[in-house]
Parts: sequence; structure tokens; C-alpha cells
Amino acid sequence: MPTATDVPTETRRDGPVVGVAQVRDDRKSTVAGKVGNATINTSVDVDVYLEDSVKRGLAQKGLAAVDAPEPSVSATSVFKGKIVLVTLQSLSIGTADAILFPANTTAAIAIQVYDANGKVIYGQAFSGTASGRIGLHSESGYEEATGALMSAAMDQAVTSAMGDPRLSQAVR
Amino acid sequence: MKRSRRTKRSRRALLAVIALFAAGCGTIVNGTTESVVISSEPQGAMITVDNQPRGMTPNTVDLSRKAIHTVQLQKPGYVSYQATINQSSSNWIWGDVLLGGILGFLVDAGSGGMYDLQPTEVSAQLREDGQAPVANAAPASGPIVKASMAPAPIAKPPSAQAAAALASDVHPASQPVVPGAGP
Repeated sequence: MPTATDVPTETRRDGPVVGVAQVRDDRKSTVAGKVGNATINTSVDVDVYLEDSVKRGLAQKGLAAVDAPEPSVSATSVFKGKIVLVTLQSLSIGTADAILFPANTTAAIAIQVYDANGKVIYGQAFSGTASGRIGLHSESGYEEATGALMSAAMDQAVTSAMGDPRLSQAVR
Repeated sequence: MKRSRRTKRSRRALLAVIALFAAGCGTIVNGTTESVVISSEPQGAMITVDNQPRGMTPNTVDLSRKAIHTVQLQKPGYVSYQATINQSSSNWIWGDVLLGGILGFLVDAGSGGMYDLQPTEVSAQLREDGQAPVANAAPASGPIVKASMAPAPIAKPPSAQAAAALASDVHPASQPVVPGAGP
């Protein structure tokens, strides 16, 4: 198990320590969709945001969430605790018309928990949605408006996951 | 007698022209459905679209352009997979502006011909759920697409800047910027 010094100050809790691996991005394309004539491309920040959101959720459950390697290589790693692996299955945004209709965003994630031996002990998919009118913007305005929707959808998916009692049981 | 035949032909021609315009450019060119290719690794996952069974992966399904669709893939022993097929405006809507007029626009809106579906390909990597024995299990891990991971403080609240950074590469086409026009 990691020692206390392995736990970043921001995440330290008195509860059990659980590792969180880098988010696995299973999307075949970083294009989330189109809003009007604007093609919405997502950046690697999506993965980082999702990982942080999961860590925050675990911390709120009283767990100390620490960075962990991929479960498949954890057998040879110094990290011997349980590892949470989040997979971003899909992230989409679209609207029939950017001005007349709200944009709909859906995020789908899979959460797996691996035990110290690298065996999957929990796996479940969750999704979140958000919708809002985008309107006409400059480039940065589009980024902000669509980014806010996408992060809201991902947060909702993570909140659903954190509400699953089986997940709480698996990570402890 | 001859005059009567001519009148009938003229009427038919007129009806054909009306039907052509009434159908709408998007409906004529796009059709009312779009094919979406659905695959998974491993194969043999049950496909449901909008809660209706649509066969097993790999498969190609025709989906109505009129609505947003939710695709789910399920296979025992694996975490279910979900993807959303969204609508976006088809460029054929400009055909209505130039040729079809209001009638063509209304027909396209009603039939869904004015929309494109995105994405048109769903490719899922199914992950183990740890609940059932998995035959010929896929490797538990795949390549991580992410180039780097910057550990961020967990207590950090999401900011407007962070939200904006998620959509990093937006290409607004030729839409004008209207000051004060927001959501």
C-alpha cells in the first residue's frame, strides 16, 4: 500500500487509499460533434478533467485517491492497492440548429475497479447529459459554451457512479 | 380529343414539378435515414437503439434522421457501452433556401432530410465487468490515447477557463459574431 507521503496533500483523507489510473479514452475520434457549422474537437484536457472529477467524487466519499499506474502493469508496480480505471466511452455534442435549438451533450463512461492482483472486481457504465442553447459566438465563446456543457455531462456521469453502492463497496 | 390529352400531360408535368419541389432537397438527396456502422471488440454484443433490439455486432443499421438516437451494446461479462448519435444541420438545407422555398424546408424538417447524423460509425471496445466469466477475454488494458497526464489538485473546482479548455479546437465556419447574442 502507498505510504502517506505518496498521497498528495489535496487528497489526503483518513479513509482507505485507492489508486486512480489515467483515464482511458476509447473514442475513435476527438470530434465530439457539430454545433451549427462549427466542428467541436475535444482536447486531452477532457481526460484530465474526468480524472479530476472522479478523484473529487472519491474524496467526497472519504477515500484518499492517489495516482496509480494502469492496472495491467500494477502487478509489477509498487502500487498494490485497489485501482479505479475510468474509460471515456463517448462524448458527443450536437444540435439541429445552434440558434433555435439547445445543444445536447452526452458523456458515457465505464468505471472498473481492479483489486491488488489486477482482477476486475467491479465494472459498470454510467452516462450523463446536459443541454443548453449555444447561440452565436466567437471561437473562444464556442469553446467556453460547449466546454461547459461537456464538463456538466461528465460531472453528471461521475455523480451517478458515485451514487452506486456497489462501487463504494468495491473501492473499500 | 387532342386538346384533352395535352391538358392531362400538362397537369401530370405540373404535379411532377410540384412533387419535386415539395419533397425538399435534403429529403431527395439525403433520404430520411442514414446508415450507421456499429462494431465492437469482442464481437457479438447485442445492439439496442432507442431501447429497440437491432441485432448483434458487427452490424449496419439505418436510423431516422429525425431524432437523436442512443446506441447501447451489451454482452455478458462486459460493461455495457453507450453512444449518442446526434443531429446536425445538413448542407442540403441551402438547397431549400435556393430552390425548395418554405415548402421544401418544411418537408425536409418533417422528414429529417435536413439533418445529418453524427457519428456514422460506432466502434466500441468492451471492458470486463468482473461479474461473469469472460471467454476469450480481450486484454484488460488498451493503449491510453492521452499523451500526458498532469496531476491536478483534487480540490480544484471546475472553472470557466477549465471548461473552455475542454473544447480546444473549435472551427466556427462562416457564422457572424453577433455581440450580445448568447445562449
